[in-house]
Amino acid sequence: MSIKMILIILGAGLATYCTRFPLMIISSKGEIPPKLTRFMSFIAPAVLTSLIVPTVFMKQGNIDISFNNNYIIASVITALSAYFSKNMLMTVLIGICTVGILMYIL
Amino acid sequence: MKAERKIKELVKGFIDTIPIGISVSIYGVVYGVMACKAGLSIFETIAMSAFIFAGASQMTAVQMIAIGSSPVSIIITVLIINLRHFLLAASMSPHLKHESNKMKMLSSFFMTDESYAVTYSHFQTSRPTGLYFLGSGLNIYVLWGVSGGIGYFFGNIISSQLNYIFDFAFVAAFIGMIVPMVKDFPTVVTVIASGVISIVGSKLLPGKWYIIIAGILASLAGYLVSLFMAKEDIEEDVIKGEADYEH
Repeated sequence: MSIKMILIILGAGLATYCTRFPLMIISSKGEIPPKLTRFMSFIAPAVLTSLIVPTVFMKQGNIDISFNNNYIIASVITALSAYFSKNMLMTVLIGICTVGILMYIL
Repeated sequence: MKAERKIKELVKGFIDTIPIGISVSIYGVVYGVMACKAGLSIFETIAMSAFIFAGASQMTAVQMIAIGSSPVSIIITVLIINLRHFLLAASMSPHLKHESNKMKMLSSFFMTDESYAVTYSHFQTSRPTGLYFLGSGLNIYVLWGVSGGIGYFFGNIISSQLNYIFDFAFVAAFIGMIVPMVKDFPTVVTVIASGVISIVGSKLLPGKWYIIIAGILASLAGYLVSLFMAKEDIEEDVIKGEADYEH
């Protein structure tokens, strides 16, 4: 295992633990401000979206919005199946199959 | 507490968490396949589950490793994603006030969204114990670790000719996480803002910093919209109230 991987795993592990234990130890007399709670509820969708959107819309460093871009069509179908199935495995399987089929027919 | 009762609490927490643990396992298999396709070794895949032990974070880390992000930006991104743990811990801590600090330090390592949910609802009707919380967390820990390993094995037997298709598994898995989160208009704004900022940012910013920048700016956008909507609601109520009064 490379030094880089060890750094990532231990660093991310420590960072995660530092979000878990502090408020467990400090008995929360004062609750977290509701405004902060609200703000934090948007973090997960924001970060997760920023991770995949460039993968979908960019090809070799350029924006590609066309029917040649299989990932766009497949993403729409995947989002629909996520909405209706509410099932992670089903969503991933439908997504992969869609890309496979699009590759075959286009 | 007697030793026998202690074990009972731990086991009860573990058993009560089995149903939700099974759905976590499915998610774990997806993580394992991803880690394999991103070029991690089986050892690294399981080490991540052992030390980080957070689903969305591990998938994010794996994705960022695959696209060549720096360790620092990966660690910061994981930290941001996990800030929500503060909320879970804050809501759990009043129930475990009577426990020792050692027990709190230990059980909080195993705290996940899932074990929190199971434990919190159990504590509404039963006497809260740190051991129940620990047992629940251990269940998820074991199932998450094992299912990641199984997923890695599946990833290995999937032909590398299909890699283009399986690259999309990342995207699909993230869509599967995002869609259930989009419940109101401010979250829609967040997702769209994040998409636009990340595309522009990936062109303009060095490395993979667009992930963190888009994450923070888009959360802020969603938050501001939610504030604005809350204000409008109040104003509408006032107007309605006046109308009612006239009748």
